[in-house]
Amino acid sequence: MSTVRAPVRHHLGAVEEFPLGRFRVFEISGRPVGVVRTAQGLFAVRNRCPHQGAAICAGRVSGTMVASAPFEYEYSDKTPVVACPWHRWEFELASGRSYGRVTNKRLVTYPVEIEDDHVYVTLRGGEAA
Amino acid sequence: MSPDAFVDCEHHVIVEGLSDLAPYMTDGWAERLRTSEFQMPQLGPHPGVELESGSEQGGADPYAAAAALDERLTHAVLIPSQPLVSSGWLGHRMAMVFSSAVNDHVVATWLPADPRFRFAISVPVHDGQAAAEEIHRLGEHPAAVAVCFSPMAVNLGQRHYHPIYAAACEHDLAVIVHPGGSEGKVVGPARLGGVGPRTPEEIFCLLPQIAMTGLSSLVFDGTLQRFPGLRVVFAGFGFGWAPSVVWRMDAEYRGLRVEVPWLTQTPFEAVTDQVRFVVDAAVEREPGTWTLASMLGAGALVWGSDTPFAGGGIDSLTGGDEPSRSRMLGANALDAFPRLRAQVSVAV
Repeated sequence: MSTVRAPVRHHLGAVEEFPLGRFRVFEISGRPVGVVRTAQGLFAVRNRCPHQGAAICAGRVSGTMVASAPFEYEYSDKTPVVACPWHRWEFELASGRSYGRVTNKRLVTYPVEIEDDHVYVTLRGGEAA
Repeated sequence: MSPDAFVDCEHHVIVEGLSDLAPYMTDGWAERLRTSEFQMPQLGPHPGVELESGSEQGGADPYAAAAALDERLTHAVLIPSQPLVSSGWLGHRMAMVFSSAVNDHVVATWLPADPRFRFAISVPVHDGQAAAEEIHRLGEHPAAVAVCFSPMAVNLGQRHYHPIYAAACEHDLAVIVHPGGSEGKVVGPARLGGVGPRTPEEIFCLLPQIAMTGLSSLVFDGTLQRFPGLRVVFAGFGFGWAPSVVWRMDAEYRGLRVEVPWLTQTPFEAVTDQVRFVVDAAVEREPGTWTLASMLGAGALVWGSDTPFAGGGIDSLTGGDEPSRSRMLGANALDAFPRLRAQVSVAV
């Protein structure tokens, strides 16, 4: 049993079990955690949109439209985002920040790493999986 | 009151007859208008006001108008009324000849009547490039502070207007958008929504629809961003509609940002920076005025007397705390009209 606030690393499975661009959602110590693999790496977020609480991991994972001249759309996948399925607000997977300053609220993110082709996510508190 | 400025942002000018304008046209055009079926635009009824052209209210007589100015005023921005009607004309060249002559008439006969007079350059918007040329012709006149037009059935943010905005920015002139009176009546001017109104009362009530569409277009088409020096003043549309529209634009922007990724400000921020609304003294006297105003931010409103179409002066707009009133009458107007701010700064 870990201490309440100590970081705990949880093993979630082999990398190959994580499809590209689609979240897998886990219940870890009572928290819903989504993990997604993208071309830019693995990301873990809380499956709860900070706007109105939607299960955001059901949303689309992609790059996004970046600032451009009017009517000159420029798509970039340098900053992967997840778009909430309820209101399409986009959050950066790496930082949890709202893309385009739509809100000051942040999506909760968790450290995630790969070790020997296996995926681990670290949460504060709870039992190790 | 602001110690630096007390500005009437909407003081209309009426031209009584073609003979007043003929000296500012080529002989050919003057003859053409004299011998054709051309009639000076007759200004329609305004809500609750009897208009008598040339009356002591100052519609057509610059010296009578000057004498009737509120003595507290530091500046009054002259907006010729009849060129606004020309958005309903099919003859784009005639509209420009007429507007250009009115501009020269204002410079020659109105400006000498009172040192507080400033003027908006009237341009018809059938031909954006021709309008820009007229702005360049008069843009450096020391009393010019704005460009004024009534929109046609092209959204305000679209490329059609870009030459006008570019020219206005080049001369630090604000752009005043004002109804032309033909909306909903003929093809050409901006259209009203739905099936369309049938009576003058309905048209007056629904004119804000045009401003709503125009404001939305200026924001979402990225036009305010494309012209960061642009200052747009909505006059004659009231402002009570604006808080809900700006609120809605902000709400929609959150979900639809990917559709307009060029916006680096929220709609509210863009409007706050670059758009002002003239309080219509004739219809916005209710206590709710100040509650609505607070929703737009302290800098959004400027005051216009709508002379000679409205009876009440600034004192008819009751309520509001002194800082808000003072800002509306002074600082906000100087924000709206960069040329005016420059002159006040120099004077101080």
